[in-house]
Amino acid sequence: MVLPSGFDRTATHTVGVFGIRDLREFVLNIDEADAVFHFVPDGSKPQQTPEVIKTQTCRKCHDNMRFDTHTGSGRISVEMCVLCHNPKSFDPNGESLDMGVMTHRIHMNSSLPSVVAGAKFGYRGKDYSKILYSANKRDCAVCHETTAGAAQADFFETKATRAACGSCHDNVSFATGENHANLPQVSDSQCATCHTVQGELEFDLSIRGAHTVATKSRELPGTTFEILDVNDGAPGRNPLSLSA
Amino acid sequence: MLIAYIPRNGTKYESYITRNATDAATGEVASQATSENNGTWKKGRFR
Repeated sequence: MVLPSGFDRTATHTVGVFGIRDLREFVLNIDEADAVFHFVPDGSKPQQTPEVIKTQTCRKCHDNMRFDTHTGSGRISVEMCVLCHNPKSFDPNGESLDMGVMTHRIHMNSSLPSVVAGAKFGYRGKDYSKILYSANKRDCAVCHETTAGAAQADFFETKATRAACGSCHDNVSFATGENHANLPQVSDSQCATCHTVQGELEFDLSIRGAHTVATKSRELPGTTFEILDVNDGAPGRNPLSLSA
Repeated sequence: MLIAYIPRNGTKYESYITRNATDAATGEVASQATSENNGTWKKGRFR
C-alpha cells in the first residue's frame, strides 16, 4: 500500500492485519487472529482511536465474532471492524456501513420505525429485518457497558449524534425536523442541549430518560402475576389456557 | 491488510483502501472500505 501524496503526516494512522489457519481438512477448525498498530507518521503520539465498545462485550453473544460474509476471515475484533466500518462506507442500497449506525440498525431490525411502516431493511440484497435480538432494545447498557474499559464507553450518552440516534429512530428527519419536534438539525453540536445524559424525570428527553427500560423503572408500579391453575396440562395435552 | 487514518478533528476512521460495490439486482454502486493482500512486507523503520 502506497499512501497518496500529501497524506496528513500528523494524523493517527492504524494498520490492521488478519489471518487464518484452515485446519478443516484435518477435521479441525479455522483459527483466526487479527492485530492493529496505531502510529502517527511524524512520530508523535497517536490520538485516541475509536473505542466505544470492547470486543469482549460483543463476545457475550457473538462468541466467535463471525459475521455473515466475514465468517472465517480472521477479522474478529472491534478494533479491526471499525477500520472499514466507518462513515464513508455504504451498501449499494444506501445503508450506512458505519459501525455506530449499522450495529444499531441490525440490533433494532424489526423494531425500526421504517420496517414497522413496511419498508425493507438489509444489506447486499439480504433481508435483515427479521433477525432476533433477545435483549430489550431500549437497554443501551447491554452493549454500551461502562465497566468493560472502553475509552469512549460513555459516548453513547455524552456524544449524541444525528447518525447514531437516527440509525434507530429512522423516522426522524434531521433535515426537516419531521418527528423531531419540527426542529431541523444541521450539525450534531446542539443535540446535548435537549438530550442531556440524565434529566429530572425517569421518562424524558434525556438519553437515559428516552431509553428507560420499563421493567427497571422506579416509578412504574409494575404488574404482579400469580398463577393459580394450569388447564389441560395432562401428558399429551397442550396447556394452552391459563387461569390467573 | 487494512490501513486507515483519523481525519483532523475527527473521531472515526477513513480508509485508504476502497472499492466500488455493485448491487447485483439494481446496479447501484457504493464506495466501501476494504482490505488488500497484494503487498509485500519490509521490516524496518520508516519516517
